[in-house]
Amino acid sequence: MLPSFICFPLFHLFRTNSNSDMRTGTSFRHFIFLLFLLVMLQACEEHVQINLRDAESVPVIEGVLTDKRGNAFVKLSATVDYFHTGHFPVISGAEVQILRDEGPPFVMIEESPGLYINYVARGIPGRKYTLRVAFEDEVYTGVSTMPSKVAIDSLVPEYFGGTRFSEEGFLVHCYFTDPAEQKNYYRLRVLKGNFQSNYYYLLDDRLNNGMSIHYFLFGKPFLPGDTAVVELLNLDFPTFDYYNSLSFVVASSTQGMGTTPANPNSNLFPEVLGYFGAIAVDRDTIVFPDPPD
Amino acid sequence: MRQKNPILYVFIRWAGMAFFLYAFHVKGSGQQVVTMSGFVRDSLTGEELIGATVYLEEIGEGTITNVYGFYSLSVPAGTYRVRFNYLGYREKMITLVLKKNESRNVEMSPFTHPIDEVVVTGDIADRNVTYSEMSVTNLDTREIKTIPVLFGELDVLKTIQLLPGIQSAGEGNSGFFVRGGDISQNLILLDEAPVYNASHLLGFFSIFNSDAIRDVSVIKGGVPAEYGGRLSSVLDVKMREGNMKKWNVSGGLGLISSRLMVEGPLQKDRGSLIVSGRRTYADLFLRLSPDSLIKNNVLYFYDFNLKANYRLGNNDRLYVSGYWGRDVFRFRNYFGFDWGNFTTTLRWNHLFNEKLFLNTSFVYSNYNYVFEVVNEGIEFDLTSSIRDWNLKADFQYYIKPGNTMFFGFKSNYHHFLPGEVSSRGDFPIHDKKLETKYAREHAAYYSHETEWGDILTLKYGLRFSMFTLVGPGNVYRFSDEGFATDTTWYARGEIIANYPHLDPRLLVTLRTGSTHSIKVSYTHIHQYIHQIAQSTASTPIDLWIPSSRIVKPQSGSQVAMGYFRNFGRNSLETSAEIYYKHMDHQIEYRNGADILLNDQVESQLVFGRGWSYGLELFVKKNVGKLRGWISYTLSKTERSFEAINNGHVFPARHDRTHNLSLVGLYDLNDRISLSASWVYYTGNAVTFPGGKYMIDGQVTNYYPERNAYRMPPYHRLDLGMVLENKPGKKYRSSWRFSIYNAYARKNAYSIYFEQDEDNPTITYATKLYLFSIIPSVSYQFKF
Repeated sequence: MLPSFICFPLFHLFRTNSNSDMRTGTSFRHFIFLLFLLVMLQACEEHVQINLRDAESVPVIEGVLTDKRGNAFVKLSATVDYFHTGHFPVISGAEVQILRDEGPPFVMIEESPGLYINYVARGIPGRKYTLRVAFEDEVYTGVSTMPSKVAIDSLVPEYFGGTRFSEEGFLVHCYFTDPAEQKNYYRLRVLKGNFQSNYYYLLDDRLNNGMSIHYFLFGKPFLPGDTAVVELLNLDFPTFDYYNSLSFVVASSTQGMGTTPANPNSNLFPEVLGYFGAIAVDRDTIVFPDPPD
Repeated sequence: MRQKNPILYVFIRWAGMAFFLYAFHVKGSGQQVVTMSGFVRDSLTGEELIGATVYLEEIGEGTITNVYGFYSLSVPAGTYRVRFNYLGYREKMITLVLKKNESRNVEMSPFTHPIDEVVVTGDIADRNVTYSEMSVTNLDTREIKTIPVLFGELDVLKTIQLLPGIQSAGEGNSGFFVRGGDISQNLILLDEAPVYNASHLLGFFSIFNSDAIRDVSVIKGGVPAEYGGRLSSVLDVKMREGNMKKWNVSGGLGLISSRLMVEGPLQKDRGSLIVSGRRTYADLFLRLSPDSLIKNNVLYFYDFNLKANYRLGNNDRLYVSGYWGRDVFRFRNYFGFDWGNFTTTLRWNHLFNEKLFLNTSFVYSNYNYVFEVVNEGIEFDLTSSIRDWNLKADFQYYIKPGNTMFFGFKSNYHHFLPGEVSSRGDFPIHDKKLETKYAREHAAYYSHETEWGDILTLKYGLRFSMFTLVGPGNVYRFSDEGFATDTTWYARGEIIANYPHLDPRLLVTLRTGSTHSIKVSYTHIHQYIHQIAQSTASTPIDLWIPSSRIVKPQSGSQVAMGYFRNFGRNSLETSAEIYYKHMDHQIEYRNGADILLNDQVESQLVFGRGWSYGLELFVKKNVGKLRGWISYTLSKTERSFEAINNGHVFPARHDRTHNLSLVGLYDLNDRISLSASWVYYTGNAVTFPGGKYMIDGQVTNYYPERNAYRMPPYHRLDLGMVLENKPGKKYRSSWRFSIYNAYARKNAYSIYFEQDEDNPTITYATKLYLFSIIPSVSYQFKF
C-alpha cells in the first residue's frame, strides 16, 4: 500500500517527473526491473498502431460528501471510445440525492451539465450516508461511512537540487498522528492552485498504527514563492479500496507492466464505474521560501 | 479417505487385479532365473550414464540404466550377447555366460566429435518409443552447448523452451510454462533439492551453470508416482559428478560472465570431486561511467556448484552436492537488495542385491531475500525466506526384464518466513515479523511397470501424500470484504489444516511395431504450496504460501495420448501428442491486493479453475552432420474465476495458440560447427482498454474484458558458431560466437497506453521492446 518508507528512498534514486505511481507492490518491481533495463539493456519504445474494439458506453458516477459545507458534489458522465478526442459525455437530468439516517436527504441540484451540487450538505464523522442516483429507469446506490478526522500536525518543505533525472525545487513532508484505537485509511492530496498532483498518496495504518506518521510527498517540485495546499483525506475502507485499485489502473496503463489491469473496486450497486465517498478532510497550506544557498 | 475421485476407485480395483494376474503369471515360469546388474559409465571420466540401454539379443529383452547409472536384468540362465548403447557413445558388446547372478560394470567411450557418430544398431528401437515414459524430454548437455542463446550464455532453461509444450515466460526469460501451467507449478529439482527461484537477474539467466550439469529431463505428463507436489511438470536437473580418472580444469570467459571448473578423482575410480563457479561482471562497466548516479551501482550474481562422491565397496556410494548462488544489487549507498538459493543434498546409494536398489537422500533447500534501506533517518531491513528439509528413500526392485517396482517415501518439513521488517534509528515504523508458518508434507508411493507380452507395457502407480499445517500461529476468518472477523490461536505443533490425498498415475505403452508405439497416460497431482505471481515476469519477491484452511491444495489431472515413431534406424525420432489438463483451486490476487507485510494475505486471494489442451508435434534428428529438431505446439489455456472478469472464462496470459521452434546444428568440419534456431509464437493474451472515462480529475482506462487482446506475434532467429582449436592437443579451447535476434525484430515486451502530456484527451499506444540484435563472443578452455 503506500508505505512512504519505501517510496522515500526510491524517490531519491529515481527522482523523475514521469506519471509513475510509487506504491510499493508494483512500483518496487517496476523499479528493479526498469533499473535493470537501464543498466544493462537497450530497451526501446516506439508508438504503435493498435486496433481496439470499442466497448458500449457505460455510466460513470463520482460522488463525494465531506465534513465541510460547499464541498459535496456528484459527477455523472460516461465512457467514450479509447481514441476519441475532445470532451467526455455527461449525464444530465438525473435525480440525485444523498440519504442520511437522521434528517431529510440532501438533494443535489444539477448546476452545470453532469455536475450535481448541494452547497449546504455536509457530513458528520461516524454517520452513514447513501448516494442514490436515478436516471433512465435505473437506480444506483452507494454507501459510505464518514470516518473520524485526523488532522495534519505540520508541513515541512525540503529543497532538492536538480539531477539528470529530475528538476530542482521543493517537496513537502507531511506529519500527522495516527490514532491507535481504530483502523485508519488515508489519502493525501497536493494542490497547486486548482491543479491536483496526479500521484496517489495512499496509506493505511497497518504498519504504523498509533504512531506519528511522516509522509513524504514526492512529485513535481515546487518553486520558491509557490503555494501548496495539502489535504489529508480520512476514508472508509470501500473508498480507500476504490482509490487504491484506481491507482493500480493508472500504474498499469502508464507503465505497461505489473498486474493485469482491471476496473477499480466500486462501492456502487448495481455494478457501475465510480464510487461514493463520505470523507473527513483536514487541509493545510504551505508557502515555499527562497532556496538555501 | 475423503476421496471424491471416481477414477481413483476404478483405478485401485483395476490395479489390484493387474497385480494379482501378474503374480499368477510369474508362478507359471519354471526356468532358473539369474540376474546381471551393474553400472554403466563413461570411460574417460568414470561418470555414470543415465538412460543407457542394455539389450540381450538372444531373447530380445532389455532395460535402461536409472538415474544413478544402475541396471539390472533378470533372465533365464544362458549365454548372451549384451549390447550397451548410449547416444554419442560407441556401442559396447560383451558376451556373457550367465549361470549365476553376475555383477558387470561397463565403461563406454564417447565419440570425440559428433561427426563420428554412427547410427545405432537397428534391432532396438530408441528409448522414446519403447520406454515406459511419455511427454518426457531428456536434454543432452552437449546439445545445450551448441545452441545459441542470449548474450552467449548457455542456459538449460532457455534451451528447454525450444521443446514442444514448453513456453517461454517472455523475452530472454528463464521462466517457463508447461502445458498451460504456471511457472510456480513446475517442480524444479537440482540433485533432488527443490529450487524455489530458478532465475538470476530477474529471469534473464537461470541458476543452472551448464558446466556443472550432466543431465536434464523434463516431464510434462505421465508423471511417475515418485514425483509430486507441483501440478505442471518436473524439471529434474542432475549435477555432474566429476572425473574419476584424472584432474582437469575448464572455464570460459564471456562478455557478461566468466566460469571456472575443477574436477578430478579423490581416489581413482572410487571417488571424485567437482567444483564450479561463475560470476557476472557486466556491472563493472558501470564503473567507467563518469556519472556518479550510474557509477556507484552494483548488479551482479555469482553461484557455486560442488559435488563429491565416494564408492564404499561395490554396493554403497555416498554423494554430497550443493549449490549456492546469490544476486546482489546496490543502488549507490541508498539501498541494497540481494537474493538467492542454497541447496544441499546428501545421498546414499545402496544395492541390497542384484535386484534391489535404494537411494536415500537428505535435502536442505533455502531461498531468501534481503532488502535493505539505508538513508538519512530511514533505515530498515526486510527479509523473507522459505526453507525445506526433507528425507526421502526410493527403492527400485528389478524383478525381471520389463518388470520393475518402484516404491519409497518422502518426508518434507517446510518453514516459511513471509516477511520481517526491522527498523533502525528513529524511523517511525513498528518492527514487524509476519508469522512464520510451519508445515509437514509426507508422501509414500508405489508404482509397478510390467510388460504384457511384447506388445503392452503398463506402468501404474499410486502416490499418497499428506500436507499438515501446524502451529504456532493465528488462524483468521474473513468477512466478504476481507476483514478478519475472528482469530484463533494454535499452539506449537497443533494441527491447523490437514490434507490427505491419493493420486493415481497410469501409463500404457502399446508397441504397434518395432519402431513405433502408442502411449496413453493419466496423471493426478496435488500441490500444497503456492506462489502467486503478481506481475508478468517472476520476481525475487514473489511469495510462497502454504495450503491452509482458506487456501485449498491445488489439484490437477491430465490425460495425454501420443504416437511415437522412429525412422532410419532411429536416426529420426518423431512424436505427436495430445493432452487435456484440468486444474482446480487456482489462486490469484484480488484486484488492488495489499500483500506487503500482510499477516492476513489470505484475505487478498481469489480462487478459480483453469484448463489447457493441445497438440504437440516433434521431429528430431539425432545423428549425422546435420542435426536438430522441429517442435510445434497448438494449444489453448483458459481460466475461470468468480471474482475476475465478472465470472466469465478468460484466456490465461500465456495462452499462445501457435508455438514453433526450429533448431539446426551443422558440423562443417572437425573444428567448426554452426547452429541456428528460430522461434515463433502467438502473442500473449493481454488486457487493453475498451474505452476511457474521467474520474478523480484523471483520464482513466476502462477495461470491459480481461485478456481479450493479443500481443503481436513473437519471432526471432539466433545464430551461433563454435570454433575449436586443432584436435589432439592437451589444451582444448574454443571460441563461441552468437547473434541473438539476428534480423533485429522489435518484439513487443509490453504495450501500454498513455495520454499526450499537453492534451490528456489524446491517447497513444506505445510498445516497449527489450532487445534488438545482440552479438556476443565467449572463449572456453579445458586442460
